[in-house]
Amino acid sequence: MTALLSCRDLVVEYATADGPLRAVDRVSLDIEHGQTLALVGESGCGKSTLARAIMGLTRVTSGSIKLEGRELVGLSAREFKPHRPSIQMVFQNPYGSLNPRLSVGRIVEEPMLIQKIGTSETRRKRVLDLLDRVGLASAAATQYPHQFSGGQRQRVAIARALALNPKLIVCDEPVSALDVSVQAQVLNLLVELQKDLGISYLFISHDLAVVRHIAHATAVMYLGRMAARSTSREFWKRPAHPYVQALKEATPSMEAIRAGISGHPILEGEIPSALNPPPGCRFSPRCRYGIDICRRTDPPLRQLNDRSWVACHRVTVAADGTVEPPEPLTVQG
Amino acid sequence: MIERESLIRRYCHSTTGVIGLVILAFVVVMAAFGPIIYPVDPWAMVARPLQWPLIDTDAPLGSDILGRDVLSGLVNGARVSLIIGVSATAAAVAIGVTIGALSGYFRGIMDDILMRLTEVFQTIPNFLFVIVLVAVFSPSVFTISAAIAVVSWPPVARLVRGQFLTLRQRAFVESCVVVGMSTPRIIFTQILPNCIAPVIVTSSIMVATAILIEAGLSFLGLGDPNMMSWGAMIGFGRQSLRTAWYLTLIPGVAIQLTVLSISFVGEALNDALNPRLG
Amino acid sequence: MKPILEVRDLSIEAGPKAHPIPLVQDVSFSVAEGSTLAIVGESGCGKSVTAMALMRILPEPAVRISEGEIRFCDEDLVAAPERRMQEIRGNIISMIFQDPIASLNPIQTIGDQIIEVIRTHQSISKREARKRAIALLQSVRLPDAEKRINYYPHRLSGGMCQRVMIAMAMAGSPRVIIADEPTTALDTTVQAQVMALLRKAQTETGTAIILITHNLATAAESAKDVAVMYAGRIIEYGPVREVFIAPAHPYTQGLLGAIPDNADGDGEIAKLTEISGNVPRPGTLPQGCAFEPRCKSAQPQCRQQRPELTMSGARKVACFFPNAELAAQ
Repeated sequence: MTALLSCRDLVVEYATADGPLRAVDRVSLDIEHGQTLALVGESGCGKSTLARAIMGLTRVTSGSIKLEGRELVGLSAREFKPHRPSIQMVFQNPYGSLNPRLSVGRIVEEPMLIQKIGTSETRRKRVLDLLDRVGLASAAATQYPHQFSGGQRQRVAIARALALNPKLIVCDEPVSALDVSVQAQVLNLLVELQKDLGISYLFISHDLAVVRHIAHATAVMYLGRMAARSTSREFWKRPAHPYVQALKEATPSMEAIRAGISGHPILEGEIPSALNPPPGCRFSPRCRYGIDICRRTDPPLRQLNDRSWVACHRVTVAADGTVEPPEPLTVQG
Repeated sequence: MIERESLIRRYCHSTTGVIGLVILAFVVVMAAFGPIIYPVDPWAMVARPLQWPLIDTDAPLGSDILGRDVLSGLVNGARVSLIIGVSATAAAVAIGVTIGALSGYFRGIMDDILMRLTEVFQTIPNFLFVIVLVAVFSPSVFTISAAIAVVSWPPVARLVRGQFLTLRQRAFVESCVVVGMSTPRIIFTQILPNCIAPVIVTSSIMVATAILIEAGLSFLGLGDPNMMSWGAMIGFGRQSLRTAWYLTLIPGVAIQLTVLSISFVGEALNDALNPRLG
Repeated sequence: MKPILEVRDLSIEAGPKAHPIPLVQDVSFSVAEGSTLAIVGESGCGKSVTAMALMRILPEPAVRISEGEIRFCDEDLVAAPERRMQEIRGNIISMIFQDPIASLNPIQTIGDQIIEVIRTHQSISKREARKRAIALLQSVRLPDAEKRINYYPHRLSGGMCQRVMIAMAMAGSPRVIIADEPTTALDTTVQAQVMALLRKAQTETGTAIILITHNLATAAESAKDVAVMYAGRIIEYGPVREVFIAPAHPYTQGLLGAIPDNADGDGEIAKLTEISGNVPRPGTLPQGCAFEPRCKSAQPQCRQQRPELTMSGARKVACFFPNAELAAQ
């Protein structure tokens, strides 16, 4: 089966006052039908730029993005328009993503208006259906965004994204601005919608607990490069890439508390500037397994088995096919 | 849109706003109906010259050096002041919003060119430039309004540009791009309504400034020679400032009160339109 | 251990005096030397207002302490005059804020800012203060401290700015540090560094830490005790492991249940436990238990009466039907 959306060697460069910035550097990924791909990484890793490139919100420097086999890179705004309904987006901040001056009904109806779908009567009915679908009362249609809490606004944003029957919804940190108790409601809603409507999600998040819960496949980025990618939900159990390990260890988890584990090794150093990335492997200055080759050559993303890819010189595959994370160095340089 | 009822209620929270509105309403009524209710020609010599106020019933607020009625001048002057204040501001807002919106939305070269243009206009001393324009194009209500508009749009352009720059990046604007909305539609239906509030507030202050500029022009004798205005009255009264100071005081107070009431209204509007800042 | 800071029945209100809106009600907790108390809760629960009250930096008179005591070594800080509070702030109690970049003055070098803090509390020369500032920056492991002391905040990353903030907070050798969401604005790996740094500072100086956070896991990792707040009140209070392993209050249970539990596996994605409804806004609280409208195990009694925070085993719970008893029924 071909993937719903696939990116190949995608590069996005920005011109900044300090020279060109390569926010996304030769990234490839696939999003399968009806599945969730989580895109994980810290600030400056390029995950939001990648999402914006897929949405056609930013210019792609090179590479390809194919939606069900049709190339999206290089399309003009007019050529892109017919593809818009297929890819919708839910933004991080539910306070900024809804026009404060429009009623909720209008906000949800707007995509259909623009794409000239239905009559005002059928659209009205569809708006009420959508609101009901995301768990809002029909009275919400006549109210304004400021009358709702963060969680309810995010439901409105989801209803709007659903209006055009998309195949893919890009969710950019959709729950990170929400309270824990409300977060669960929105996550459950997203999972339920996926089950019922077969939507795929590109789910961008820095919250590992959320990612581990919702994702079928995961991609971890570091400084514009793909560090590791996997289509397995086992991915986080025993991460092979040193950065993925470090991310997991740095995340405080209730699991560890219950098991009484404390005192993980702490990843030192700061994320370098993407304007001036370190030579070789971009993670090498902070990596505790770094050896000479890591500082000289940038490791390509290589396939380890049918489900996982990793960009690390030091990850090995044993004869029986099990992936071996790097061994700690005996002598520290 | 913010519900109308609550907007009025929030506006009424401000005492000075209500006072300003009452004074302003009075001035507007005076400008609209004054010449009908009090049909005395402001240019006609109706009383003895330099009559003090509250003495002669022919000129309740006194008469000037030529025996012209001060009350009639006040009533007719209100019309000129308000017409010029409002029309100059409307024109300036139209220019400013267009330029600000274009440069804030498209950024890049468009922004550079338009902002340099704005800076050129902003660095020319306003009042002198108006004098030059009016002198070149012979003074009339239209040319005076146009001249004031030409010098006062830059702050609006900068304000709108700033609003566009921030609003453009807000997720709700991107979420319109994502559903395939066209650029003009985004500008007019999404961004513009969201920067109306600060524009209204700024323009209320611009009305006051325009009235002051017009008064200054008339004082210098560069006003519309066929229209009595408050500035012109002050100009006429200038020679007899020591003996008949009421000639400058009365129109002066009228200008002050009007300008003050407009800025009160502007401030109250600001608070009412931006409730979350209050 | 003897508590160093003790808060008794603290209430905070806002709005007009005639019709005040209660933000925090009857909050009591204490923290001992060298230990950490976490105050956790969702937005609007009153945790940040409580932190500001401890420093007496509420935007008075709009928001004010209406009742209660904040005792530091036999001294009631609620009654202390402003001059005394100025001595206390930075010297005895200091604070670290959520947004480190916004908390630093953008037009002063970080060195000048730390030196200023040092010199307000100690009468030492500029040169000595500078030496001490460098030592402080080194102790918070800011790389190249001698060079970076001359930097303006915008040249440092968020994580480095938070290190500077911690250095500033430590400058007066405080007995209590209040950390209000100190890692929320930071990247995951940097978060871990900052929390480790706070723990290190604590072991070295024996300072008490009050950690305000919405992240239960962060609280669990760093704190000894935890106070869970909901709608302006503490609803559960006790040793962190006990509370998080066997929560007694339905709200604490709900919160813990709402965190995805990392159940990796290729099966179907499980449904998370939801707490229905929304966090109530201050001033719109029901008459009985504030959590009752969202509570799964609510009984008629919960609607009429508000449960007080009472001892239940090793901890305090404000619920008529806490977990253990429900199980026994």
